[in-house]
Amino acid sequence: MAASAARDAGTGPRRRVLAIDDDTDMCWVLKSVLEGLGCVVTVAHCGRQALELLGGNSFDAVFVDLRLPDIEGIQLAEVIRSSQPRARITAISGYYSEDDPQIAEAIRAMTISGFLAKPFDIETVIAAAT
Amino acid sequence: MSMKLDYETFFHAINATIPSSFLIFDDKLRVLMANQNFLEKSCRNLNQTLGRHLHDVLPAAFRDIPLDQQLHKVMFSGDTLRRQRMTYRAPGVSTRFYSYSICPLKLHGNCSGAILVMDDITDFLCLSDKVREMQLHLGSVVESAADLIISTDSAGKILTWNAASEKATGYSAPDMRGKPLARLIDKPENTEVEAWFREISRAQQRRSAEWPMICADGNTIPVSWNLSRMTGINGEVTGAVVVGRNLLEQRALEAQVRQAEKLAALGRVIGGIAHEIRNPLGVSSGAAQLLKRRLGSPELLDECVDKIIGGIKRASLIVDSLLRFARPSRIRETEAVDMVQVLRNALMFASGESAIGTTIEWDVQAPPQSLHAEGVQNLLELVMINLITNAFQSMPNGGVLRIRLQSTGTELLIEIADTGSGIPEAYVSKVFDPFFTTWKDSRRSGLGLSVSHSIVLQHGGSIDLRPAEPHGTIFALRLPLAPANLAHHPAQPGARA
Repeated sequence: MAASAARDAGTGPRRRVLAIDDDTDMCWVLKSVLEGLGCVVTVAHCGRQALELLGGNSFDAVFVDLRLPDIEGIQLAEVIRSSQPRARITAISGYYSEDDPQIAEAIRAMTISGFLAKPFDIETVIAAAT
Repeated sequence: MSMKLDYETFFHAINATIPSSFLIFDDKLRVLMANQNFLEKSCRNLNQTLGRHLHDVLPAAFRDIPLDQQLHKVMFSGDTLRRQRMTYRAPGVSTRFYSYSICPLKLHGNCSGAILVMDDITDFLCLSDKVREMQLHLGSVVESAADLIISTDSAGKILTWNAASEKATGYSAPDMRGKPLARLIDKPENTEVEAWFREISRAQQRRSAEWPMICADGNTIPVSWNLSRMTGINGEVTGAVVVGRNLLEQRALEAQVRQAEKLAALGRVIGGIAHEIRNPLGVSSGAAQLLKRRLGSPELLDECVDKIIGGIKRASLIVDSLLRFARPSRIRETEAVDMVQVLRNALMFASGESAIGTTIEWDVQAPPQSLHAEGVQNLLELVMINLITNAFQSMPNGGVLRIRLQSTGTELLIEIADTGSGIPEAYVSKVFDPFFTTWKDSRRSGLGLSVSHSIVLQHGGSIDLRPAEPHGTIFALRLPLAPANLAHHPAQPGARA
């Protein structure tokens, strides 16, 4: 199984993941999936909280919801990209779809590394985080 | 002593002063007399003129006029020839126009003669050309105007009717001339037109109004009118100028804009709904996949089941509110609904929205068994879920949610207060509008409060909001009490049909 293979492969340093979504249940899903793989998952529910967490920490992967109560997700992704140039940033949204011009442009500009439409396959979450 | 007129002096005076030129001819068309003006204009003296033939004294440029024949005819018939026109065209000189008349004269010895009187009317003609040109110009302005331009007499009868008026109404100018303007205005506004004309000399000089106009096809069109009175040189009212703007196109445009706004609102709500439904779908789907893979501890797997059920419940609540919005059916069957229980259920459903650090305070002012509303349980539950969710979302950093229940004896008063940032003044009047939401808030499609509002109205209740002190918002609901809870237990079988 791909998931257990990924978990077994995690012999190096544990990957650090930041999940940003205003939906607490959605954060719970991301956390449950990724912690099962041995990742260290930090959760933020709004842009302000995410920016505070970004200050002193570095992340290998970031999941960012595109509609947050206090900031547009793409805008937040730009800030994250500039402070964490090596992080793999994945946008998740129930509002946009992959072929929306804004998403295509953000991928082309490498602001985000990928996009996940809700509901998603947890395999793709695993692939995006590890 | 009577004065006797000296005809010779009189004749010389006229000869010397009138601005016309005249010549008197005998029957051989020889000049018997020429006046001062003629001599000056033709640069001749009397000797060069008297006794000469018509053709010798008049410039060659006049020869194309059969003056000789006309003079003979007048002498023969005795009839005066009046106001003929001749043109003087000569190289190097600007064209001049003359008006002339020939009048028969009886000469000494019963001979026939005639007097030719000529007036230079060039300047007069130029002036009238200018006037005509001006009239044409004004006329074309009126005719090419997009607005209806109508002139009337002081009684309100139509004098002129421009092309735009014809186009808008289908009535031609000849159809309308002499008809009262008021007849074109639909009832009851036509009486206002009549009244304005009745009072035209006393009334205000100008009147603006929107009156519907009746067209030839029987339809009416909305027209914005401006009536101004026209006054003569002495200030007397001579009539009115009426300018009308056909609002039909403007109205069509406004309707288009409204339609576009509606579509934009629909787009917004569809986007909001997609987001609202896909979130719980994402949660349920993620939890189900975890469950299938048996990833994690048994406790986690139990939690997965809860999340799946919770997600499905959230999604179906959204569908419920959409249907409620699409089919706002009248409430037919009601029952006594325990509002304390409804609020407890709603708190449970909405709890996912409460931030860490949120506390809930109950303030129940009566025994719970007296707090039953007459209504439909699941609808009232939806209202409470919406209001509580709204309160939780307005306190993203935690706060106090205060639920207050009170009976007035006839009504149930429920207040849901939060300690959030409050609703800006400008939004207070809009929060119950369908689709109203602020972009910052991802989880509100803008339907929740409008659906709640319509449900409460359907119950015969009311919903209001006011700012809380020191900050936050209080939503206050009034619902009818269940008959058993009413203060005087009036007999109300079947209650609210």
